[in-house]
Amino acid sequence: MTSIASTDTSLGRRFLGGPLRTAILAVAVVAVVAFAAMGWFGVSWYRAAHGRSLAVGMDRDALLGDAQRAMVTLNTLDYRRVQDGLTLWEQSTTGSLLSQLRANRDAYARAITASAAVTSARVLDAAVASLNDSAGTAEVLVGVDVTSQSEQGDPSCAHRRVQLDMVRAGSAWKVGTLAPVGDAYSEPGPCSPGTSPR
Amino acid sequence: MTTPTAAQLAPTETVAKPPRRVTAVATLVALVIVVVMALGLAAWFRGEANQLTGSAAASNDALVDADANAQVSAQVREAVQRIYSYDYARLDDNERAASAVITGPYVQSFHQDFARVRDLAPAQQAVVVATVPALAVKALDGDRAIVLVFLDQQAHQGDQAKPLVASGRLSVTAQLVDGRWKIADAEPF
Repeated sequence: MTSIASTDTSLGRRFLGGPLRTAILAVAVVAVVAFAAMGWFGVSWYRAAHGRSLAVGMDRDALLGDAQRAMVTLNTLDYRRVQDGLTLWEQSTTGSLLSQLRANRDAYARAITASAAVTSARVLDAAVASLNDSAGTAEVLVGVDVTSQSEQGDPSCAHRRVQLDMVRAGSAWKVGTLAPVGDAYSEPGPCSPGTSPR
Repeated sequence: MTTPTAAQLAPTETVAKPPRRVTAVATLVALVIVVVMALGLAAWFRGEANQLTGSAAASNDALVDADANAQVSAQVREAVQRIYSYDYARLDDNERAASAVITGPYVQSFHQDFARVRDLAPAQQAVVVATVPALAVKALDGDRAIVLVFLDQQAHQGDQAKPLVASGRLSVTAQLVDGRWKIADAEPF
């Protein structure tokens, strides 16, 4: 029995000692390298996805987009569709600005209707000045051009500088307060259509 | 001795040979499958990682790198105030001070603009003080930054008591040169 067993092993060695054995060894080495690469890139993906800096960067960019959209909404109105416009205003605001809009909604509606004006806004540039990720608050500066066209008069363009205090509301950011930085500079005629925003 | 062994060997060989070989081939096939799967996963992970680190959000350090952000803000504010302020009685000083905080293509355009100031300011006895009520770093990538600047200029002319006030919006490109952020471009919008 022992002799058979030993012969058997030596036979097995002879078969595996051939090209098959070499191939298995080679593929095993490649497998180790492939596993190492998989581990390396897996860790770098995890790090990239869970790093604080990417989270802040993505938060900043999402916030900036929300602020720009809110700014366009809050500078757009049409006296023929006042209630729709005011509803949109309320949807993009929160906190004190929202309370203010709700409390004065009727007065605003009357004033807008009386003005018989249509305005349209374009954000030329915006940037996040500060961002407190954990508190969910941020400050955004926006340069916006607003064209006003009233029923009787000629159009005019207001170049506005605005500071927005943004508040995180669920998955989106909304405007908590809106403060002009200095007086708007107005000139006759509609704002130049210009190119796409920066 | 040899003959019985050989006789015993022969059947053993025919029985043992296929399973050995089959096992070896199966091992090889399994290993190849493992390699293919591992390489596939590695490529996928790499793609995902590169997509994240190469994204616009990841390559912009504005607000992410708090120290650099603060440095850009402070130095761009100071530089812009310096560039947009002048006193008709000290124009040489003003131009020299501004020259220390500008770089690249902006150097030429600044001196062109300042030549106009030299033409007009003395006659008007103009003293212009520039302030930056607010600014925000929009993009920050290594030695380059883009900053949104709100600029106010108060112009006092001769004996007029009331200053003229101008407000502007600038998109400023800043470049880090020898450890200092300098203005490489300033575009009103």
